[in-house]
Amino acid sequence: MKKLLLVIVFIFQFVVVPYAHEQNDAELLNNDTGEVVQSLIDRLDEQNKKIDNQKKVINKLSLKLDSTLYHFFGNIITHNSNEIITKNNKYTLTKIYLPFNDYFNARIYPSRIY
Amino acid sequence: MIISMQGSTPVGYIEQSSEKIILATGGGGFYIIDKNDILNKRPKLLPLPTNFHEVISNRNFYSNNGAHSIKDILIKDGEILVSYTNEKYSDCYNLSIISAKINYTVLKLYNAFQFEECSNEKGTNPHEGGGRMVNYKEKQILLSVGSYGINKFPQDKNSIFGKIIAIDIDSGKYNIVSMGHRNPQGLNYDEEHDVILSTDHGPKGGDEININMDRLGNSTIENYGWPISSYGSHYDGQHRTDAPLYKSHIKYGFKEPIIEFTPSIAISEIIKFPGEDSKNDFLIGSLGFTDLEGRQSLHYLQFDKLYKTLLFKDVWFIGDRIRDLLSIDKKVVLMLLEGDHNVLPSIGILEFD
Repeated sequence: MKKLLLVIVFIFQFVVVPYAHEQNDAELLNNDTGEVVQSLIDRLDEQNKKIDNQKKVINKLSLKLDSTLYHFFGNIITHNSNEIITKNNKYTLTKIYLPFNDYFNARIYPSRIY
Repeated sequence: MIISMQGSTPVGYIEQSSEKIILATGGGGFYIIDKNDILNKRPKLLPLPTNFHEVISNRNFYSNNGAHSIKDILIKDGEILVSYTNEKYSDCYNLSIISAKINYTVLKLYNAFQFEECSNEKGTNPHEGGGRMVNYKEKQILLSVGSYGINKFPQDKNSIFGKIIAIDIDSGKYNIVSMGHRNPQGLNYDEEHDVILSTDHGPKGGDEININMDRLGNSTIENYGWPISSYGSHYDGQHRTDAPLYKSHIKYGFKEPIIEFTPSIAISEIIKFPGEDSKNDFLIGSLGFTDLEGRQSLHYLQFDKLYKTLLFKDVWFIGDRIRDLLSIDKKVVLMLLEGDHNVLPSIGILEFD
């Protein structure tokens, strides 16, 4: 009899209780999953909105960068000077080189940002 | 490294408002430069967005072919006018004008003026399209329209080709001021003396400067003779019955040029020499692919008060094709220089004390 009780206690302690805990955890887990997934979707939406905003910012910055590069080229653009000697006078001719190293780009560039 | 420069493609044209220089490239790029920065030799070239490519329907405009390009820009009454090669109908071309209210943030161009006539003749060549514009009386501008390479047009009073035309920009009404032009790439109106000066880019030789005087109340259409009379010759040296190119103009009833250049200097724009006085001093630009005498140079010409005689002439070698000229501040001349396959295009600044 004593042996039988020991077997029952053993089974209850090491099989039934852990199983019950396992079942309980699974139920809890099932209840949390919906919220977690919803939370993840919300966060994903938020991230997508942030990415869209970042794209807009990057686009604006890119356009500003284009302008700034030309601004920059305008400042560092190379030039040279030489004298024009005429019959009556001497004049200084300064050539400011334009950053049109490709006529085709010079032809199409500005319309791109309209 | 220059990648795809086409020598025949005009690098562009320059014009000024009170505080800015506007540069339009031959293919439709627009830029602004602060005038003070130019004078300080530190120009900042800023792109000016436009809807140009939405307005232009010419299919050939993007083929990197200078024939189909912007031909000039002009500011009049707060608007910027742009002349260009228009494909009026399929494979039928003429010179048209688009316009925009001056704005340094964006130019919203619209169709401002179009001729009904266009050329679909065999041999139509918009390289010989002229296209210069200058301010004229009241609401009018002068527009030079080239022959488009078709010999029958310049002597036909019913054709707009090979003419200089006064256009009222508000009403769109126009009248022919002079005829018998081949490719008038330079135009100037001397308001003080009421005189129109034009340059005509000849064939092989025969570049001309023509004077049209006494415009007040004068409805006579001056005729400069192309293609009946010219001091040039056809490139192939062949005779053409419809374009005999007689040397004398006056003998055949046409007006003689005040000066002609043979060999050609590849004549382009003409402007009044900057300064306060009212002397008839002018600067003429020249193009050309070689540095033969007179080409790639500024030509200083002084005429007498009645534009009957050339008093003084000087040639200043610049070393680049001069596409456009602009006088600013009464002591500075800007030149739009095309460079070549090894040299970038540039803005040449020439200062006079």
